[in-house]
Amino acid sequence: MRALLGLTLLREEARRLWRVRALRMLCLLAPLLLLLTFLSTWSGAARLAQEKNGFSAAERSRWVEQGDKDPHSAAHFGVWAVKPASPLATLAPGIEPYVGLAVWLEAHKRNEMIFRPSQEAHPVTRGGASVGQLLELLGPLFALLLGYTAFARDRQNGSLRMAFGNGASPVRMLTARMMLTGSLLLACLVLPAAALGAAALLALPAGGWDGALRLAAWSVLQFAYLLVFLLFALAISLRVASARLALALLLGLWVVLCVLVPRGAGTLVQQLAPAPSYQQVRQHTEAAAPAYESADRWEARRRSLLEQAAGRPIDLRAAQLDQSERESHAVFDRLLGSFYDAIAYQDRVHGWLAGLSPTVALQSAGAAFAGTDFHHHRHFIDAAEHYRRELVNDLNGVLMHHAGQGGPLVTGRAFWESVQEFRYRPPPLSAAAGAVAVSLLLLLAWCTLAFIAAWAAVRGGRP
Amino acid sequence: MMASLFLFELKMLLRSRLNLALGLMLFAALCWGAYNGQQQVREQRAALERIGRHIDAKLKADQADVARHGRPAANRLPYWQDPSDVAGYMRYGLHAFAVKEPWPLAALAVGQARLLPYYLRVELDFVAPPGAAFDFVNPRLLSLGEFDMAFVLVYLLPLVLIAAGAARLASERDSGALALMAAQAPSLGRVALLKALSMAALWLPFTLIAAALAMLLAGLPFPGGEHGAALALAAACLAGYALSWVLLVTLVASCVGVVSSYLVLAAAWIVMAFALPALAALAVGQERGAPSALVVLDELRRVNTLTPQQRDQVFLDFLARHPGYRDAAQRLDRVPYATKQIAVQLAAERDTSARSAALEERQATAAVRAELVQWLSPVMVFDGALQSVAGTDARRHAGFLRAAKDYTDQLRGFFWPRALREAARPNDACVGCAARLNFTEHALVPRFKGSPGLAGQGDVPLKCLYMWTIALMLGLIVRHGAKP
Repeated sequence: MRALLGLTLLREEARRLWRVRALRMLCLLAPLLLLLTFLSTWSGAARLAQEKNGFSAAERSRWVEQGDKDPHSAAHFGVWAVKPASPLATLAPGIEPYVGLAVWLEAHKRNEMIFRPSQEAHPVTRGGASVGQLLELLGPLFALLLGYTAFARDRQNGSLRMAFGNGASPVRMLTARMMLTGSLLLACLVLPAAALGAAALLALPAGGWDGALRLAAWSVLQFAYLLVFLLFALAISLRVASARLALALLLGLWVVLCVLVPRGAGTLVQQLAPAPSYQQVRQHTEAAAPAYESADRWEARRRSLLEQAAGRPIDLRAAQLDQSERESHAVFDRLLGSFYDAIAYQDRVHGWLAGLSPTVALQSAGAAFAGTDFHHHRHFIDAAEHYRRELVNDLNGVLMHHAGQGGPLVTGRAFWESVQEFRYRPPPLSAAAGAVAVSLLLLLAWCTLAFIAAWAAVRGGRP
Repeated sequence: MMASLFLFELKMLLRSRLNLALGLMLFAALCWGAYNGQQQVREQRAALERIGRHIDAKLKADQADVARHGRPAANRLPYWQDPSDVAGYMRYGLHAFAVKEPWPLAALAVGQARLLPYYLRVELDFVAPPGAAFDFVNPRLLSLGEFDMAFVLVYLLPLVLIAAGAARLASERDSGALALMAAQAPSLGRVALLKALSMAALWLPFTLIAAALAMLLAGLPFPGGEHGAALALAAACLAGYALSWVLLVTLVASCVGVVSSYLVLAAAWIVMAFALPALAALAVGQERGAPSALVVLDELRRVNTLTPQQRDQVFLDFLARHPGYRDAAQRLDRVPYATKQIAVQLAAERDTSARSAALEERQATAAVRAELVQWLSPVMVFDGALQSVAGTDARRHAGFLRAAKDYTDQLRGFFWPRALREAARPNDACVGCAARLNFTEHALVPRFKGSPGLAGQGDVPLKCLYMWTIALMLGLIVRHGAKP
């Protein structure tokens, strides 16, 4: 009987909400807007994925077909490694437009990834939205308006007073409205976004991204985020005396939490955890491990190697190249590694700033779940650099083993084919979640805070 | 009566605690924005100074090395380590940079300054296009955008004006006070316009003074000359932009109630700040079949994949077209790899020119389309105007890339004939020395002269006119369209 009453109440509340024309429009428009936004990014993502595949295949073919040559020449020829995008980048591009697509893996140099889509594009195109950005910016507004429509107006026009006066239980009634508006958020925003993500997973290369798991986690995150705003809207609508003041507070809250703080947080991070100048880091790296060593340094290396060889046959050039290469690894790890550590630290500080706004938590954790944050990017550049070192070391090793066999060494197709192709496997979701644990915890704290505020408002609510 | 009403309104506005709080918040945001912008500029200037010092130090070191190795020695240096060998030096020893100096007002709007490279290492032959290089900044921070003065003025100022004006006017309308005032005046439109003007009389000077003060506190210079004129234009643009928002707030608030005013104005802000830019992005970016830079790279890589024999053949073909250097063919096996790369680079550029030109044309078409669609939203126009005045816009960067390309050509014009002459008729100036001494003119290597100045930023006056036209139109609508 109690359950039946609950169902009746829910049905009546649903009818009441459906009668609000503006809300009806919003509920119909929201999924449509998500779909249009998704379609606008979709064709570009599909084409880019195709181009990446084509380029990688062509690069492998060039490597195998490079002809007979000295192994060190092949090390200079190198290969280009292309970063495969997460299929969920179509939903939440994160940092993807701001990092390079490909990196040249060659001897002596640790090159930066280049061809950043945002650098290639006109600034106007950077104003383009993604499904994730819509949910991040306009989703809370939708949630706040839902909360406002569900409670504040009824309080203002006396409907709530009338209902309570006729014996309705405030807690049950308000819980029913909360459940309904929460379901609307789910149905109009989260589930359509998840469906679009599923379409992306089906159509784009999977590439070991654990797409389904990531999409599920990403969707739960979005719902938790929107729920925070819905619960705050409920709390404010029930506590504040007039509807206009409630709306002003809700809009103010949206501006502060979704517009002002996220922008300020990015800038604050640079002041709390400044990263060194990349130009300076590169300059120091080139001074400590120059791609082409000076004559003096080369000669010192030659003498030292001759001493170490103590009369054993040695390919001096190969040994010099090998030693110089291995020394450069330590320099790259120390200087460039520290630089990337500083960037990762900035991201961690940004995660802590999620205490200022749930939007910051979503930006941090959402990109991590979608595989489009710096943690994933660094995983790729480290994997590519690892491959480069192995490749160049192997090629130098071939040269060194040739020592004492006389004549120049020329390697050909059979050897090039024996070199493993670069294949990238992204990190598991658990590692990505671990990197944003603080943001996740803070989002949970926001949820708890909003729930407590809403519960307190419901318990102490006046009609 | 209207004058006394104007003064009364102004007094009320000045006494409002909400206005005081909003003003203080706006000023604090402007100060922080100016500080952040100036910080970016300082960092860029420091990096450019380091580059300048590095180039000077490298020149001195090269000259010292040439003197040191220009003496008889047991072994000759490999050509790639010999700073006095023109071929070796131009490929392995040259450290030349094209730099984009921040303009005096760069801190006003960070714009594209952190995303796009402000220095480029110039190389005479390359596989990856030099313009693809960049100075790595945390990509998350790039994606979030900067909290600079432009953000405050373009995005936050309208919100401040909405907060300051919507409730006051709309509640007067709801309570009937507006109608009462209109009954004693020639029309409601004139009363509404007067209220808008009183609000503008407070907020326009306040915003301009607050912005100037924030710049002063952050250490931004107030430049003279053409940059001073640009600053004056930016101020006029800001005044037009702020006045437009004041009039829009007045129009909406005098037509609908408080709740609807908030909703309509918030929606207007979202449409102008996000929806229209997103639509513009869609209009500019949705060119079917436009390939990424990977396609150009693929082609560059393909034409650069040569066996030593193929490379020699490309060089011989080049010599056949340049009879002045034909003697180099007689000593092909002794011509350095770096010199042969001249021919390879030219062939690669020739072979990929159609693809590169198509890509550039597409980019140019997108730029033209972007220039057009930005007029859809005053937010985009004002943002663009601030970036133009600051010198942090895409147009200035395009000029910088062209200047960097010209500089590359200038360096090629300096080095390549020398390297080819050396390949054809070697000039071993010091037989028995470690160094070859065929190149000792390091001090004559051209330096980057700079990219175009303000002359290329010509549409700021037009944008200013656009802002004031919108303000005028809104003023006319308020004057004649306000309804009780």
